[in-house]
Amino acid sequence: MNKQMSIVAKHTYKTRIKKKSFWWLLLTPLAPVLVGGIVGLAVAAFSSNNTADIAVIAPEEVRQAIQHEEKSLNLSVSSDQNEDKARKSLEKETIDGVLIVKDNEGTLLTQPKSEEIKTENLQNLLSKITVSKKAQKYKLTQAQVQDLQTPFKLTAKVQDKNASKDSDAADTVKSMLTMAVGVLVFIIVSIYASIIGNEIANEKSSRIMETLLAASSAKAQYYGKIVGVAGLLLTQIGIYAVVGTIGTVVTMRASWYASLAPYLSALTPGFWIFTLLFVLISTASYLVLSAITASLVNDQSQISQAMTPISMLALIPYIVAISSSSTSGQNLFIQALSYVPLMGQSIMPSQLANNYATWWQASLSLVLALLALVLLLHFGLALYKKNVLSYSEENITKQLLAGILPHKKHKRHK
Amino acid sequence: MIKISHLNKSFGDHQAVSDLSFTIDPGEVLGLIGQNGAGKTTTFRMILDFIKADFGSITWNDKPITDTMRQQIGFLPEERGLYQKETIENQVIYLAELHGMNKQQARKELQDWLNKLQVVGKPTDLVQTLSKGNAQKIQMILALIFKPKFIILDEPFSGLDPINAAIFMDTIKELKKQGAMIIFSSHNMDNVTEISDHLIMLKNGRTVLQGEVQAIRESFGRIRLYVEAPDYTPADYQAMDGVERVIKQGAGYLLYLANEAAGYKIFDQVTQNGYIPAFSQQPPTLAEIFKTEVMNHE
Repeated sequence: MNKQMSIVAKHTYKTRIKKKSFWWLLLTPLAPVLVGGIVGLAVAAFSSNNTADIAVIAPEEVRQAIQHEEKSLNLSVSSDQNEDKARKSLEKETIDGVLIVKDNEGTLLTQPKSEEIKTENLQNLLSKITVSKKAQKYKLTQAQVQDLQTPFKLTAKVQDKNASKDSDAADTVKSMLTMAVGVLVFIIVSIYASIIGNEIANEKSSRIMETLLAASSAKAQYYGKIVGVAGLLLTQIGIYAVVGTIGTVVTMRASWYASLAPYLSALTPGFWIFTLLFVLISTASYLVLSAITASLVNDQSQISQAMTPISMLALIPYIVAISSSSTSGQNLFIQALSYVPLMGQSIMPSQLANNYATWWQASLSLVLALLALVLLLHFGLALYKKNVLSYSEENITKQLLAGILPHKKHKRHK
Repeated sequence: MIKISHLNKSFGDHQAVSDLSFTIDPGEVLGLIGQNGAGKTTTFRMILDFIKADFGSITWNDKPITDTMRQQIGFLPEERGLYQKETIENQVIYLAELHGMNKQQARKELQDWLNKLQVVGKPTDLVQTLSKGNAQKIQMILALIFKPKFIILDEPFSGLDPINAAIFMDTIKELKKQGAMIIFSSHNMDNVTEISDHLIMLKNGRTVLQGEVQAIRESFGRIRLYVEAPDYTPADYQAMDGVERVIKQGAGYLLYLANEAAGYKIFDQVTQNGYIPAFSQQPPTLAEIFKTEVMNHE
């Protein structure tokens, strides 16, 4: 990047980043996440200790065994060993339960406001104690006891022609992800296409373009603006990445994370990097298209007219991404579209996550998007140079076509 | 030295500039005059490479103008434009950096220029708070802050009051003294006369007059005579040989003569009784020449 280009990029970046509107744009999607996180932390901080206090009325060796496993059972054994006293404490709700064990039977008494006691784990422990006592009674060896206690080994395998290793739950997450990526990409593309469109339209309508082009070149202005706006996008992604990482680290400490983890098995670092690259390349392509159409406007009032074709184009993969989350992603049309530059960014990540596309196919789609970006940058510069000082009363679409088709000349203001 | 040779440009069937040639030496000011659409702005745009010439060459010290050389051209466009929501300082520094200046230097120079051009406002003021005249001064600062050796000013005086126009004129004269090559366009002929060394008048893209300002005026002869002679009435003047038109002007009369020699006889007549307060025989003004030439080429 030459010096002038970097000056233009820096100016574009600094001007926008100082504006409140950019920060609102950046913080708005984060707000529900932040509020949710703060509320979750507050609830966790102020909620009572969820370890259940129970009185164990049982033979001493059983009582000791339970006390030994307090942590894994998430229990706290009270000192109370008198059944009547323990029942009274339960009535007064000072303890969460009373476990009464006699011979091979046991009863667990609880009250409606008791903390949760995992009876399955408690039953497993009591079964083990009973088996040990019976083994002693029948004079079994340690090896025989071990053999008796070895559980039956059952291996579950899911047969899937797409070689998916994920559960139904993970597939549900992927389906939601398909939709989320489509929506996110559409929002990002719309926002940044609009930012660069407004930048250029503002310069054209305020007639500062001649001053800028006298000081630099159309090439420096064109590439500098694209780089500057791409820098804003990277800033936004960077901030989200930091917030996301902090959120993940905090979440991983929470007790409920373990139950959530299987659902997130599709979101590997490789997947995130691929999606990020695809979004960056595609957004850059849309930035180029916006720069070209914005270079055709005469004043700010025409900017929405100029941005309409870009929005329409971005809407196609968005609609496809939404519909493919509810229908089969193996549809031939959807698969073909996932390779088309300016379309694939919303479709291919979900194809990849759902194992409808291999990493090779996904990489091919990414390379095609990159090639399209290079070509767009090259031809876009020629169109930008041609239009940026031209003030025509003709319809923007007609001007655009005239620019693409060299044999058709359009009227110049001067 | 800037040298333009046989420059041609057409848009479709319209010939915007036709066979234009001129040179500008260091320390020289060239005025470009002509009606709207005569080809002045198109000429500037070709020099700045905003548009390509169909034919002809543009050189600076006998070399084609490269992007780096173009960065050293100071340009004030006809259609003024600034970032309305930025501060004066940010805007000037941004443009100065694009012209190759560093930030600190630009900040220091800006303060000097604000004083020199008597801008009412601080560097931290937003451009949208400035009056039209002050915004125009900022635009002039953008064109000059990096001390360009070649300066193009498209209608620099338009929209300015006489005081501010005088400030701009003084600035141009100072830049000329410092050795800058300056080309400017204007519809104000008095300003053109005052600061131009050379002049080109364009009409529909063609050059209709070219040369030193005084020489051009003299080439039309001293046919403009201002007289203050108390005993003479307009009818007396009209009856004199060689007088074509008589116009009341201030305390005296302005006579338009058929030829320069008619002035000698009129002088003898009006001074036969001795002293008269004013007798000034001059070539036509640039404005008069402009009007005549425009009409002649209709």
